[in-house]
Amino acid sequence: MATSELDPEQFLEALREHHRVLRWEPLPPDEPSRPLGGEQARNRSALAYLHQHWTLPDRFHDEDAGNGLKGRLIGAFGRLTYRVLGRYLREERELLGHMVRISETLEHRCDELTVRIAELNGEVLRRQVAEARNQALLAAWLHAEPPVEDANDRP
Amino acid sequence: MISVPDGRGSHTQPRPDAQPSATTGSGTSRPVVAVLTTRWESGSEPGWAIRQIAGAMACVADVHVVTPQGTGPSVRADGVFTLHETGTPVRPVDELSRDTLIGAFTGAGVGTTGRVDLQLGRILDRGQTQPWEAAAAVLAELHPDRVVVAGHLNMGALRAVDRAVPDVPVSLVPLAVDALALAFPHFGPLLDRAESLLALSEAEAAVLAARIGDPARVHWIGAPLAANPSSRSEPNTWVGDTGYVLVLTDASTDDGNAESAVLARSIRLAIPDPPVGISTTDGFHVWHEGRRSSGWPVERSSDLARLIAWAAVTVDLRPGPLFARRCVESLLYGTPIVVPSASRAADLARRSRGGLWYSSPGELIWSIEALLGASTRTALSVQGRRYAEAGYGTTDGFVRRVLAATGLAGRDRSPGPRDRPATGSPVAVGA
Repeated sequence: MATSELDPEQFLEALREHHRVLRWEPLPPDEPSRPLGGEQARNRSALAYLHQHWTLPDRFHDEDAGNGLKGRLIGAFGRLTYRVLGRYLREERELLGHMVRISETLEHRCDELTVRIAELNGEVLRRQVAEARNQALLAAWLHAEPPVEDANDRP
Repeated sequence: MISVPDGRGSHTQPRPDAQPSATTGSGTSRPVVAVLTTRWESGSEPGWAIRQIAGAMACVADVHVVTPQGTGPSVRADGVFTLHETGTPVRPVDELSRDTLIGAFTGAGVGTTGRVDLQLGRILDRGQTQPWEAAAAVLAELHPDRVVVAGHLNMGALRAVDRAVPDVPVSLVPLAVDALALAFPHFGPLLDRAESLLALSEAEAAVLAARIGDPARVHWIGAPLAANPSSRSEPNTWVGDTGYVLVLTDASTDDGNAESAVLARSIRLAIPDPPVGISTTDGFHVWHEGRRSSGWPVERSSDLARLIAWAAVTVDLRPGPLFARRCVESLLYGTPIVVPSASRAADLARRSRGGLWYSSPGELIWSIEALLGASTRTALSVQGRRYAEAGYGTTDGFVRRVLAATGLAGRDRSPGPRDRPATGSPVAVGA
C-alpha cells in the first residue's frame, strides 16, 4: 500500500498553529442518568421468614392441653389466660404486622438506593476521568509556549 | 563527505606501514587490533556499542581489549576477545570532576578559544591519564596493527598509544554525547590523531564532521539492531493488541516528582483511551479510562521489543544519550516515536521522518494524539522503518561498515591461532 510522504517539521508546525487558537472552556455537566428500575439484587429469605412467622395464635386450642384432670386444668388456665390477655395479644399481632410491612418497604428502598449508589459511582468515575482529561488539556495548553524571556528580567 | 551506511562515500585505507602481527598455520595473516576502553561492559549504550564494534572487527582480526579496570593485572579470554585488565581503574569521581570542570570552564569562557593553560589541562587530566600508564606496556608487547580508542575524552589512552606504539594508526569511537565536551580544545589532539572516527548515528556523524572540519574521516557505522519477528507473534498480556501508547520512563513507581513521572501522568490523564502502558524502573502499569492494572517490570530486551512491536506510539521520555537505541528499535518495528526535542533521539526522529519531538508538555500530548490517527501514524511508520533498516537493520551491513571505517575491509576472514570457536555472529557478542 503506497503512503504519502509526511514531513515531521511541517507537521509539527501545523500542529502548533492549530493549537495556538485552542480555547479552554469548562466541561459542561452531562445529563445525569435516570435510576434503573426493576433490578433488585436482594436476599429475600429473611423477609420470607418474617412473613411466615409473624402471626401469633389468637385463642387457646384444647388439643394443646391434653387429656384427663391435668388436661382440663391446663385448658381452663389457658382459656383464662387468653381471655385476660386477648386484647394485648391482638394489638401485638397488629404491631408485628406493621413491622413486617415496614421491613418490606425498607428492603425495597434499600434495593433502590443500592442500585442508585452503583450508578452514582459509575457517574463519578466517568466524571473524574473526563475532568482529569480536561485539566490535562488545560495544563498542556498553558504550557504550549515556553515563557518569553523579558530583556528587563536579565541581571 | 561523511561515509554513510549504504557504503557510499570515502573509506579510510590502512597505512602502508601497518604490519600484520598474527599468522595462521596456512600462512594467511590476521591483523591484531587493540581496543582501548575505560570500561568493558554492555549495560550502557556506549559499552554495548564498543562491544559490538569489537565484535565486528573480530571477524577479520584478533581483537585485544585493553582496559584499566579490574582489581589487578590479568589477561583472559572473553568470548572472541582477549581481555587485558591493568587493575588501575579510572575512578567515577574523577570523571565527574572532569565533566563538571568542562561545564564550568565553558560557562566561564575558559578553554574554548584553543589556548588551554597547562595548569587547566593538568586539572582536567587528573585521575584520567595515570590509570592508563600500565596499558602502554601491554600495547608495546602486543604491537597491534591498529588501535581503536573508545571515548573522545580518553586522553590517557592516547598518551599510552603515543608512548608505546606511536606509529600505529588510530581509530576513534568518540561516543560524543556532550556538545560542550566535544568542543573543548583540550581534547582536540585525540580527534586530530584519529585516522577515522566511527559515529553511531547520523546526527553524531554530523556533529563530529562539523567539529573536526574533515568529513572524510567520519564514518557513520550505525548499530547491529534488527526487528525480531518473534516479538510480533504475540502481544504483551497486560496490554494486548489494543493499539496502546507505550511510555518509557527512568523513574520508579514511587518517584512521582521525577520529570518523566510527571509527564507520564499527564499522558495517561490526557489520553484515557486507548490504554497507556507506562514502564518504570520497577514495574509496568497499564492505564485505561482511569483504571490501572500493574504488571512486572520490563527487564528483558525481548519484553521491551514485544511491547514496542505492538504499540501504536513509543514515547521515550529519557532516550539514550548516544544513539537512542530504544527509539531505533521502535522505528525498526514500524512504531513511530515521540521524544524530547533536546536529545539525540530528536535528531533521529527528524532525520528518519519517523517520529515527532516536543519541547513542552502541550506538544507532547498533541504529538501523541496526532500519531494515534491512522494516516499520520502509517506515514511516519513507513518512513521511520525505511531509514532504520538502511542505517541499522542488518548485522552484515554493520560489520562491513566497521571494517571499512577501521581499514580492515578485505582482510582474511579465516580464523586465527588465537581465535576461540565461533559461536555466533558479532551481534551476539555481549548481547
